[in-house]
Amino acid sequence: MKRFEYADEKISDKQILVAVPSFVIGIGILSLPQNIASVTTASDGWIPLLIGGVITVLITWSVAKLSASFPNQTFINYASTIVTRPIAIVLTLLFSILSTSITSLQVRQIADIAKHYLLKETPVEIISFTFLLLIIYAVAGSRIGLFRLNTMFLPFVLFVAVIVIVFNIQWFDPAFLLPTFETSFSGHIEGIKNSVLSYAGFTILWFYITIVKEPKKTPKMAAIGMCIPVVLYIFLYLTCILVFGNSVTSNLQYPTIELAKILEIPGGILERFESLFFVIWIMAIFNTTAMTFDIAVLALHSIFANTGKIKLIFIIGPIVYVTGMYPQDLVQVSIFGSFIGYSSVLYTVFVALLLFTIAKIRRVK
Amino acid sequence: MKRFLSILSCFTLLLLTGCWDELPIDERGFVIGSALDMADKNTEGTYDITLTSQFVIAGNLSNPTQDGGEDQAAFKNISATGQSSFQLSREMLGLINLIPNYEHLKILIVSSDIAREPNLFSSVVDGFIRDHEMRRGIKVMVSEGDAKDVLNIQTETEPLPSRFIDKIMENSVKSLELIEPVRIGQLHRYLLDEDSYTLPLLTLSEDNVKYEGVAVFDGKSDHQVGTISGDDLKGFRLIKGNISNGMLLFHIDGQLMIYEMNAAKSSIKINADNPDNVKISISIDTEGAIAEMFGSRSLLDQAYMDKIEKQIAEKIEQIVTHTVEIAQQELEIDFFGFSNILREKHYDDWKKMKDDWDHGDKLFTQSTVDVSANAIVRTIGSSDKAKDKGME
Amino acid sequence: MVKIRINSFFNRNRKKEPKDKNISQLVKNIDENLQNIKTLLDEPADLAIRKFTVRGSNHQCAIVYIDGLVDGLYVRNNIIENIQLETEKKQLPDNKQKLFDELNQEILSTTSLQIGYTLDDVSNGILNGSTVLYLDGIDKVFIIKTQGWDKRDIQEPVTESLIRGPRDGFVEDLRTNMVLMRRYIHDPNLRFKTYQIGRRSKKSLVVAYIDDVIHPDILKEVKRRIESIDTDDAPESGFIEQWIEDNYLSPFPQIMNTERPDKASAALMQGKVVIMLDGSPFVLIAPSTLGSAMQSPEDYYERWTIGTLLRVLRYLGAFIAIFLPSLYIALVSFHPGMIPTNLAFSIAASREGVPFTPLIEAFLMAVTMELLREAGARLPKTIGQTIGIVGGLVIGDAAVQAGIVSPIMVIVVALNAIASFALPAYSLAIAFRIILFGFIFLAGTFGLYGIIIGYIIVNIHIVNLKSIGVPYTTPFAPTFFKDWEDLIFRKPVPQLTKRPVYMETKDKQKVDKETR
Repeated sequence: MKRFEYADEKISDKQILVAVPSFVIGIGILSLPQNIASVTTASDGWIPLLIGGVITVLITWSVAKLSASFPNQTFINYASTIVTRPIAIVLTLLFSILSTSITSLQVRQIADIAKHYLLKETPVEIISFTFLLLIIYAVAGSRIGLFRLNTMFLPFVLFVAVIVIVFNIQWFDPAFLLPTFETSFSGHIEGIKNSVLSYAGFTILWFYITIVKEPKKTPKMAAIGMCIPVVLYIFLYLTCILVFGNSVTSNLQYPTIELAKILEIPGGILERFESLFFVIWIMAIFNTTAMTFDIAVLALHSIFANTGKIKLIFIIGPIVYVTGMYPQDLVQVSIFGSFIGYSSVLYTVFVALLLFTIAKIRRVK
Repeated sequence: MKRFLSILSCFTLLLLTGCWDELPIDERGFVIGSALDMADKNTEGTYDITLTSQFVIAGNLSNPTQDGGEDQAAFKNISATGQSSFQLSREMLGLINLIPNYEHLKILIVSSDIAREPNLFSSVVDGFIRDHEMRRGIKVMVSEGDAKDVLNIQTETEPLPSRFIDKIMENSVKSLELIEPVRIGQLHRYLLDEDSYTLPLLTLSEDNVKYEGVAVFDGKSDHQVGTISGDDLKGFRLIKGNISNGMLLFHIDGQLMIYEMNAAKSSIKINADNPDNVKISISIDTEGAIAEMFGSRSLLDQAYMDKIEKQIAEKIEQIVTHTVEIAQQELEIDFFGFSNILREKHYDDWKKMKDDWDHGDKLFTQSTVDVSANAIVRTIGSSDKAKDKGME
Repeated sequence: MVKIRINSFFNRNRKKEPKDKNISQLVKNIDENLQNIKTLLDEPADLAIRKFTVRGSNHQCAIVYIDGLVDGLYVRNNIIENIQLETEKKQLPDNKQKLFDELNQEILSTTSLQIGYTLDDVSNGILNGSTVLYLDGIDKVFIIKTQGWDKRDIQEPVTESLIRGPRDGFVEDLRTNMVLMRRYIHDPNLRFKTYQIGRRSKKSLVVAYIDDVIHPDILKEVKRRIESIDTDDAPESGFIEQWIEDNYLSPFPQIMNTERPDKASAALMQGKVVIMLDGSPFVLIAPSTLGSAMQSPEDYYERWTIGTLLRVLRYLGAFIAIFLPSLYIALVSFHPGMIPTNLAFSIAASREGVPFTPLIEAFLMAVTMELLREAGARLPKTIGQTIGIVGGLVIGDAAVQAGIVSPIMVIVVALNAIASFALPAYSLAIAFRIILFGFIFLAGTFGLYGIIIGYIIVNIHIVNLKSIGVPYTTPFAPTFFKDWEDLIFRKPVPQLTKRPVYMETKDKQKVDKETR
């Protein structure tokens, strides 16, 4: 008789399939079409998005492969086996710091956007504080609960994205797609850079694959999961171009939300869909932020095993808040954002390469 | 448990201090239409503009005759003068007890005084594009004369002048002499791409408003350069194609006949091998019916039908050629979107002549435009003729 | 093993030893025995003691019972008459022990008979409705089941009425309820496990399950929890529910209750347990999930199209029951741009002159609604109707006329209340009504942002919730797509061939594949 075990703290690889897109889809896509459109001509942005996507899927797959080859071992454990314990501790600590900064960035950005689109007068500090409390409540619960939240929220997020695309079809102007393939090489490179940054979500794999029950198929699942945001982003980008044209897209701060703004629901039950769109998108951002925060806690917990989880949460929480509130204006936030983005991608690639090569050299299995 | 309670109490405290944005709907003044007029032109090159906002008085809108009282206007127009439209919209706070809310703004009327001034138009509409409260679906139009007077017109069919104009704008599907409404989102693109474009033109007569003709804007220098109306506007629409309804008067054998178009498509081909003489060929295909005829010849005659069709095609060619002539010689502006086609289909050539198309060398005025039309009469209506010749 | 977060108080492991347990042995002298029992119970008025001699001998014997708990006719026909008449026909042994055995073997014609040795057995027996037969000179007694008290007839369930479906409902009497279950399921594997609940009240509690369907871990966990119950009394099955549910602080009911035997038997077939408590017509179904709380037996009794549509309607009802007033507040106070232009104008017109903000207005109306409902439930049925009319129509209309609330708010609150009554599980519906107030305040503070924050909080709460170890949000998350065929959409009955996958039943198949 099989034991009654699906309610356990272990996750299945299908939940990784859901967790990866839940992690990736977040604030990034709201402004991504603007970044891409401003460096490409007409609709050429799909090329860097696709290439960036392929690169990301490859990185995802290899990170997952590496983690999965040490089943049921935490990151710090297998990193210790490969590169001695002190270095492993440093690597883990850096992950924790990185995740903490990503969390504070998210908490800040969501407040900025919410202030712009929903609550004009409410102070940013209050909006981010409520959001942070929400995140803390989620992380204080069970870890498997976060994965269940992913499963509960991702369908809503994808559904609302599809609605935005489908109901905008009436505004499509195919002429905006032309001319094709006129972007310069440097434009493509810039675009790929932007797209890879927005796809960056490999951090979760280092830590979450360790709690997968049977990680044999997980790399494949993670790669498939990574394809979901790639496809979604390309579609959303093309919709922006088809509706606004390149010049407008590159001049809007959040083109994806503006797409929702012009959308008309047949029958006219609701107008100004963008508020609703952003509100539902908060679920996606919540998933991203909750998992990042959880990883910050998890990484720290693996170093200081004796300190309780709740204690760690209440140590990291204020740090997140203060860091998030530090930048004064939009420009500083975006500088902070790109700094965090670069460091997270480069750091992941660096760790992956480091562990891969040393594992090969030392023949650790 | 204690921790749980403390979090809970923090959260409740937070809730109690809240309500920064809360403002009940009845305390907001919904602006449904806005008008921009030139108030004064200062010597140092700055302008004073007057913003007129039409506030909806909701109570008078839904039940106009409450308790047998008099009919009260469902709107209130408030004007303020200053330098920026956004600043003005805030200034209105001192003029009305309601907090202005622009989320239901439907139309924006700009007087041609503002529109004709170079490099001013984009600045005054900027606030309407930038502010998040504004929709991208606001319809923009130009008025001959004072724009604020347009917001004051009296109509019996509709209590709100703004909504009246908003509905009129939608009528373009039925007529060839009207253009599709231009939304502010679209205008944003024109301004960014520096395309030349057209906006609907309203003229005020007595206290009624008439929508006829369009104002033509030069994208580069950002001001209105002229107006076109009547047959020239028909020509413009025919070049743009994508017509689902419209009618055309023509004469055959000295008799007036009316051709009702059900569909018209245009296809534009551009040969840009020689920048000094760009060849633009426009071919227009229409389909339609005979809606009205003078005289009493039977239409059920193939030869006669062919003749009619040929006559229609000639008429279309004549109209379109005239429109093009006006654009090339009088206005010297390409408002047909040929430049877009060049950019989309001939990107390399376009890069070379981008700055010289309708400015600089004005390559557009030197280009050759070739028009060909083809008309099909699908039906002749329910009766062949109204009066039989045999009865004479 | 099922990992269950055990509430700390379960661990204290209290012994179920009642303080005053009387384990004193019976004595041989009948008078002393009778005196003992009288003293123990303090000679209550309803204690009936009948002393007589066995006919044809001088053996003293006595029967003791509580008047009203026993079936008097049964006692006369099968005990007294037998002892008096049957003994005539045969030679009775003089030996008291032999007489006792003969009474046991031949004379007493009752169906259920136990032998008691202690005063405690006697008092328990008497208080249970058994009749105790003493025989002089023997330190043992017969405890004869003679329960026969007045009980309510089987009636149509009041709280869960259906248009189509069986009309019988559970009653307060446990034995009747067990009989009902037996009549619904003739499976030899249907098991009834009996427990005694309540240090003082000593109520019977029966855990019913189908042995070769239920997952043993679930059964074990339910039994463990029931054994851990430490209370002096359990007047209603709600006590049991709150003792054994996983998170007693949650507003969400983690164990469902029903009055309908058909619902209970369907739950058994799904591999769940049914807990019946004597004295309560509400039986408990555990484990239960959010999805199962949104289902009604009638979904299966009518064809699948209407079954599916009803479920979709119920989810819509749940949405309205939770969100409608808060959405109204958010739209009217925070995001008027989202309301279609013409509707916005007419709402603004209807709100003219209303002195309160929509938040206060909604709060007032929702509290009034709760008052009306509470009053309606307390009053006798006939007056309850009047209260509904007076409250709903007169007060609502007068409030609008007086300009205290806007007519649209009345529509919103009324629709909201109706929607909450459309939910099949009352315990879930009241949970929703509690949450509703939270959403009203969140919406009044942060508008739509507040609503989504509230929604996420509720979701975080329910994904961490379990019912007897089964995640509350199964099969949504953890996802079991197989179970979606009977979740929001219901497949036609012949196609519903599987038991719920999430219950991990031993017998997975409802129908035999071969025969189909």
